[in-house]
Amino acid sequence: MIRDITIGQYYPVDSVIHRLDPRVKLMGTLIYIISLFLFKSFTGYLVALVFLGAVIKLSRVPLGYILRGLKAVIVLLFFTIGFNIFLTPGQVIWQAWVFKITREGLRSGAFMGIRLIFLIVGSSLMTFTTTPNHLTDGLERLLGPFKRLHMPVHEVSMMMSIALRFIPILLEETDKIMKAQSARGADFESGGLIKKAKSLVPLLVPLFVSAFRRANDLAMAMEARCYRGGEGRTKMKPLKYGRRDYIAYGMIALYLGALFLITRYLWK
Amino acid sequence: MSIILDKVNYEYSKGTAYEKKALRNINLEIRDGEFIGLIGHTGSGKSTLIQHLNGLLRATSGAIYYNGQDIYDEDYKMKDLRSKVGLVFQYPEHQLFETTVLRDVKFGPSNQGLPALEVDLRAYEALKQVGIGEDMLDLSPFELSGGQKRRVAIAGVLAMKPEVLILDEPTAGLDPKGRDEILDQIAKLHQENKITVILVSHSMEDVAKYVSRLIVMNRGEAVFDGSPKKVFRHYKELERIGLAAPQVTYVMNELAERGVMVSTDATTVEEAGAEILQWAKKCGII
Amino acid sequence: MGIVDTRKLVFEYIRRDEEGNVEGINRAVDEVDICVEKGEFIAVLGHNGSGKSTLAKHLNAILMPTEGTVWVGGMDTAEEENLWNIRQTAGMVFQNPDNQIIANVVEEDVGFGPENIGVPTEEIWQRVEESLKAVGMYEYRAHSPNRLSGGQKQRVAIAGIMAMKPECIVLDEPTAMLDPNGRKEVIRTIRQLNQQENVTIILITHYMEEVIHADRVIVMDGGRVVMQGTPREVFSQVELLKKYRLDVPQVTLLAYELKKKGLPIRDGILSIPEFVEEIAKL
Repeated sequence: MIRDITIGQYYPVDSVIHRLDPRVKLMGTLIYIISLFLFKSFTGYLVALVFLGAVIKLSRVPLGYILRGLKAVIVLLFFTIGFNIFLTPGQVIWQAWVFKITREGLRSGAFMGIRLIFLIVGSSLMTFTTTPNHLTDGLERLLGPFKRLHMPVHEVSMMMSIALRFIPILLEETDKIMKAQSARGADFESGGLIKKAKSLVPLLVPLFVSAFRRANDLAMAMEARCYRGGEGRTKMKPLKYGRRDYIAYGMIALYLGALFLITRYLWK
Repeated sequence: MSIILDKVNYEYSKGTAYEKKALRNINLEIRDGEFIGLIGHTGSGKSTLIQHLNGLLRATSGAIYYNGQDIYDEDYKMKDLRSKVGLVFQYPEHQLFETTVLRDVKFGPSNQGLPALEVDLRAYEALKQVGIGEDMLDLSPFELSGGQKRRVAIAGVLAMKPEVLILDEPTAGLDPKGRDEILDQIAKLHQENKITVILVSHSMEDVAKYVSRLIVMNRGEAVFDGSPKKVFRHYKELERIGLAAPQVTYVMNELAERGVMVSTDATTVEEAGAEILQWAKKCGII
Repeated sequence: MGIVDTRKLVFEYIRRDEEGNVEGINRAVDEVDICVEKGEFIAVLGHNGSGKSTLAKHLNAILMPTEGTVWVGGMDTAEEENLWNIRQTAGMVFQNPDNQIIANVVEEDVGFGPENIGVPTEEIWQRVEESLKAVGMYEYRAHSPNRLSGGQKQRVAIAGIMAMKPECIVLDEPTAMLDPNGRKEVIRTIRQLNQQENVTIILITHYMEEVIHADRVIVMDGGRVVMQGTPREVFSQVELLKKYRLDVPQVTLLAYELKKKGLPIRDGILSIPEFVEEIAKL
């Protein structure tokens, strides 16, 4: 089941978007998400859709693959739309028992739904096209100014990249321990909630023990390789903006400009 | 009484890009009371194979019979199979989780739904069988040394009184003495309790000393099956698939090539020694 | 003075009960004097719990001596200002291949050490390339470590140390978790580094086949050095090794047993050709 979740996974193809500096993609995604909340008209969404479509096309990640990621959040999507449709006061167009649908509800439900889909697709596009390492590198650099406020920016990004390295290892380990306990007659499937929770003990205890052991080993190995925090470190792959990245920033600015003009002046 | 595998195939992630045939057309009969060595390098399919024997993995095609019953029959109880075929995974000490050694060993038999007294008895017996003294029963398993933890974990499976005991690399990471201790204890269990033992290993030296039958796996197939002597005759083919016969096999073969009249069948140091001595006596060297 | 020297090195673990009272003291390393010359290949043998890993951790200043002194490259490990220089001089490879690879790409992991000691970007790339080539993993530079075999992971770990240009590499049971092929790969790599790059090697292990190429073997038991000499000298004492919970390669044992039975062959045979030669001579 875990394998079915495509959000947050890297999709390894070579494209213009893949080669962009991670900072551009992070900033771009952030700006895009904010932009979705700046307007309330269908024309605005049309502009956002065109922009998103263009980026998807450029990224060479198959559309089907991207949409599959939506499956994981479908419940959330239904709830949001449902709440909006049924709970927005206004001109009633349909009513049954305590449920009523209003014109305003339909409108805001549709808007919320579209917004949410754009938001999820937009941000998952970033993770599809950026390796986890690049992502953490980009975050570290973008948050760099906060270091002066004594925020552990380097440490956080190091933690993220180590977590990414060990997630597959721990997943495999979980599978192994589950099998080993099943061989001792453990039952992870049947029974009520409490029984199920209890049956997790033989899985979770060994998993935690192992995670701590690994953490301990890793800390020792890092120290043995002279790791002592971010101070005085050089970078093997320093981030550097290229022409491509400036063009991308230009495009993002263009999108914002278009959005502003069209929603404000052309089709209000 | 036996386990029979009939044309067993297993594919990982069927229908995706990661599809991989892990077992190809395995036909085997494992008879009661046998002591079998299962050999193959990493990724040869040996771990996949043993997980089929207690139903943890389900064959993509083919059938498995335990004592004549098809284990894939709808009304066959997989849980029973798991208590009849005990499986000790690699680094089994990583599955310990209870607060005391005794409680951990009791986990298996209590899952079998046995009365408390019986569970206790079995746990005590199993711990005795692996040489864990009574002074350790109330210790936390995490306080023990590596070798002790491993023995406690093995006892956890033994306490379920399996008819077949499968051990995946039970000596990995142990020092020579620890390795000998565990293997000797397993051999003793096999002799005294008459249980069938399948020992998965990649060390020919270890296995040759104990087992009466060797099954060699390569790329999901069982390529050799027979007594160690018979299998080690193919030492050149074994080398080609990334395995090596025990050093003494090479010694005897090279001696024979140099014209020393010895039989090349020796698989242990004792046998080789006896063979060379006999030759030396015949030639009048001693 | 050699690259690594210990003088009367003692290390004690203090065991405490739940209230923090001292329950007992374990002397893991007991008055060990060793001296390793530059370029040597030293193997340290001993069963689990013999103190060999504890000794190893002193050579990289992960542990500090309770008593006695350790010098690495002439620097006293007890002095804090030497810490990073010592770790650069004596690199360390650990047992579990998974738990010492930090990055998600092979080349980035090899670059981790040089990044930490502030090597300029271009030189990092150069060092990464050289080290990966030295261990034969250059073609895997863009791979994820998760897809590699155990032996390959250990070679990446060794490359990660090589990239820091140490004079000495301490390997703490690097093959204990590997299969026979992985073990051979790693040992071959270590020998190559020793012979071609003249790196001092201190190999901690309990596999006897791995030490027959060492210049010198040190056997530890109960925290003490109990035997020391060339592999041939050490392996000719089969009974003593058994007492220390170790065994010898099958040929060595076979030769020893035959000699005991009266066959006139020499002591400390280490390899199959040697043995065959010796028997064929009769």
